[in-house]
Amino acid sequence: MEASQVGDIEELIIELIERVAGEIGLVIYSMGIKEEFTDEQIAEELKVEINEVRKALFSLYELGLAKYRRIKDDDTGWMEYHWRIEYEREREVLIKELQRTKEKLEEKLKIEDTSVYYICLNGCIKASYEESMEYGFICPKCGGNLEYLDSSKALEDIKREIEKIDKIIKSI
Amino acid sequence: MDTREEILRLLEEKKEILQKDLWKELNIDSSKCSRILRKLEKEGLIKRLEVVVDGVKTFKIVSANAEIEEENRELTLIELMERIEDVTGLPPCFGCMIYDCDSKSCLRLEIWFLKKATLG
Repeated sequence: MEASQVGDIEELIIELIERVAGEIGLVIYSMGIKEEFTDEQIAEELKVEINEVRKALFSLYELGLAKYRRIKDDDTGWMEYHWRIEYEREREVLIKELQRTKEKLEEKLKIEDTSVYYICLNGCIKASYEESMEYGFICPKCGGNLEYLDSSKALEDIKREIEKIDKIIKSI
Repeated sequence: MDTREEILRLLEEKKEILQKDLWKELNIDSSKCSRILRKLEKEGLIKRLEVVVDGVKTFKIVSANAEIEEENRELTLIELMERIEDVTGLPPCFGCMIYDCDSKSCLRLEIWFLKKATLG
């Protein structure tokens, strides 16, 4: 693997975590803690609300990059969450997300490529040619004109994006 | 599946549910239900919206994401397009946690696509 690709992969992981678990999620992940920890410990260390920490950790859990054990505190009766970040799953999670993104792009490409769409100039609706015919090319919401949507550039962009994702997946 | 996971799963299926129906459906007592919901709201996973049904106050439970989608739906496509700045990177599907989505009806993907189509 080339050095530039390693950089790309790191950037993608950062973007993924930021999208799913926000800034706090990214900070927690970047702390590189290999052992188990509680959300209270992190909240204290980062000086942020415990709920913010929990929310970020549950997002990382949902993504597949964190796991937890719930242990009942005998003194208080409360459930304590003991978390661990699963750094070893980083590549697997990234590949899964890229593959899913690629599938969604392919679906979108098919939807847009097999039909012609019209859009309301005021931005109320987007409708297929058949629907637009029924509306008489007049927006049913605002009465404005429905105009042909030229999506050729966007479709080319998506095709390029799919190729790019393919290359990244192969390089990981 | 524990109760909190069951609630989240139910919400994904039904989009919204009344608290007074939820605890009956899950066969748990109302105070336990209320406690779990308060916690889920604190974690930012759901929203509890106060409503009155048959003269009685209860909460309508919606997932936190669903509420954001709903807010967005009231804006026009153009206004939504203005809200996103960058469409050069990966689409919103990357990192989207709605796994069983329908790419045909996804508003976020649609806005990303329209912005690409109308740029330049």
